[in-house]
Amino acid sequence: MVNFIRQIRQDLYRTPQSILQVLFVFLNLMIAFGLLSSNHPDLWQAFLPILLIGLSCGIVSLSLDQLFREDWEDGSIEWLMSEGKSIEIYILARIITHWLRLGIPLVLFVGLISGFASYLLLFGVATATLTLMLLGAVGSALCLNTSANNAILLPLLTLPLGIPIMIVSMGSLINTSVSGGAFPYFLLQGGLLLIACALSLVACPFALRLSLR
Amino acid sequence: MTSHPILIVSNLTYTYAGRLLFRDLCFEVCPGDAIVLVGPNGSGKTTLLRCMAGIPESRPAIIKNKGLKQSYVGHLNALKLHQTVRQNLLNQTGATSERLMKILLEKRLSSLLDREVRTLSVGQRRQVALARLPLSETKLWLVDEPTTHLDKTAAAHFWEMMEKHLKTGGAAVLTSHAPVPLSKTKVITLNG
Repeated sequence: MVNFIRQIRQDLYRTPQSILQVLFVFLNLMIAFGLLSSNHPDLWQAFLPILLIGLSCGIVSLSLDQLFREDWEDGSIEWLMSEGKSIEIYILARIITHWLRLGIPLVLFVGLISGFASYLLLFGVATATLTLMLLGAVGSALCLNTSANNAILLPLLTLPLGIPIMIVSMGSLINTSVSGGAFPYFLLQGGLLLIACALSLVACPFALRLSLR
Repeated sequence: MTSHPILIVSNLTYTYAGRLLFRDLCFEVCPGDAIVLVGPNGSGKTTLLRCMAGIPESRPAIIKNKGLKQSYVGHLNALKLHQTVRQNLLNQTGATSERLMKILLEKRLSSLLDREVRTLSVGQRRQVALARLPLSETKLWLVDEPTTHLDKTAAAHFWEMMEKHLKTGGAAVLTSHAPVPLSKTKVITLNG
C-alpha cells in the first residue's frame, strides 16, 4: 500500500506537457464541431453527449502510448522487475495516475462544454475513460518493444476494446433520455470496469514481461 | 572455512531470436566473489546479467539463496529526470536521509543531492545510479558496464566501493569491456 501511494505521488508530478497536448486536441475538435454545426443547434444538442464520450475515448486511445513509455525508456520497469517488487501494484498505480491526470481533466472539460447538465454524461465519460485505460494498458505494454509505428498500431489494438465501452456509455445516455431508466447501464458500466480491472492486472504483467524479452 | 554459494547457475541455456547465446552454463557466486563477464559485443553478457536479476522472470536454472536480496544497475540508469537525486534514491532504496547523506559524502556526490536529475551530466547520472548499490544494503550486486561514462576519479571511487563491499562478505557480478582493477576476480568469457 505504501509503495502504491508513493508511486501515485511521484507519477502525479511528471511533466504534464504530453497530457496538455492531448487535451488541446480535444478542445480543438470540439471547437471545430461547434463551428460546423453552428447553423444547426438541434443537431448540436442531440449529438453533443455522444460526441463527447466518443471524443474522450479517442483522446484516451491516443494517450495510451505514454502510459509506460517513460518508465520503459529510462529503465525503471527493468529495475522494478529486478527488485522483485509487485508489478501489479506498479501497473495499477500508473493507470490510476494516468486517469487522474487525463481522465479528470476530460470529465471537467466535458462538464464545462455540456454546462454540467447531465451527471450521467460525466459518469459515462469517467467510467468509459478508466475502463479504456485499463484495457488499453495491455496493448500499450505489448507495443513497448515493437519496431512498428505505435501511433497506428496501438489505436488499432485498442479500438475493438473501446467500441463496446463506447456503445454501453452512449446507450446509457440514449436510454435515459428515452425511458429514464439508467440504473441497468450504471451496473453494466461498473461491471465492465471491474472486468477490465481484473483482466488488466492479469494480462498487463505478462505483456510487460513479453516486451522485456 | 568454506563459504556457501549465494547463487548457483546450473545448466543455463539461452537462445535469442534463433541464436544460441550460451549453453549449459554453470557457475557459483559465493560471498566475496567478483565475477566479471567478458566477451565481444552481442555475446550475451547483458542477457546473462538480466537472467540473474530475474528480468523478465526468474529461471529454474538460477537458484538463489532464500531471502537473498540483490541490486541491479543496468545500461539504463532508472532515474526519474523530473525528480531530484534525493527523491530518486530515497524512493528507490527506502534508505534513511542520514544514510543517504553518508553514502553520497563518501562518493563525493552530496553537492548533487537537491539537483534535478535532468540537470546532471551523463557521467553524474551514472554515479547516482551506482549509489543505489551501497544504499540498498544488499548482498549481491549485478552491474552492467559500471564505469561507462565515468571519469577516472569516479571510476576509482566505484572500484574502491566495490572492494569494500566484497571484503564485507558481499558479492558482485559485472560486465566490463575495460580491465577490472579488483584484487580478486573470476572471469567468465562468453563467445556468443
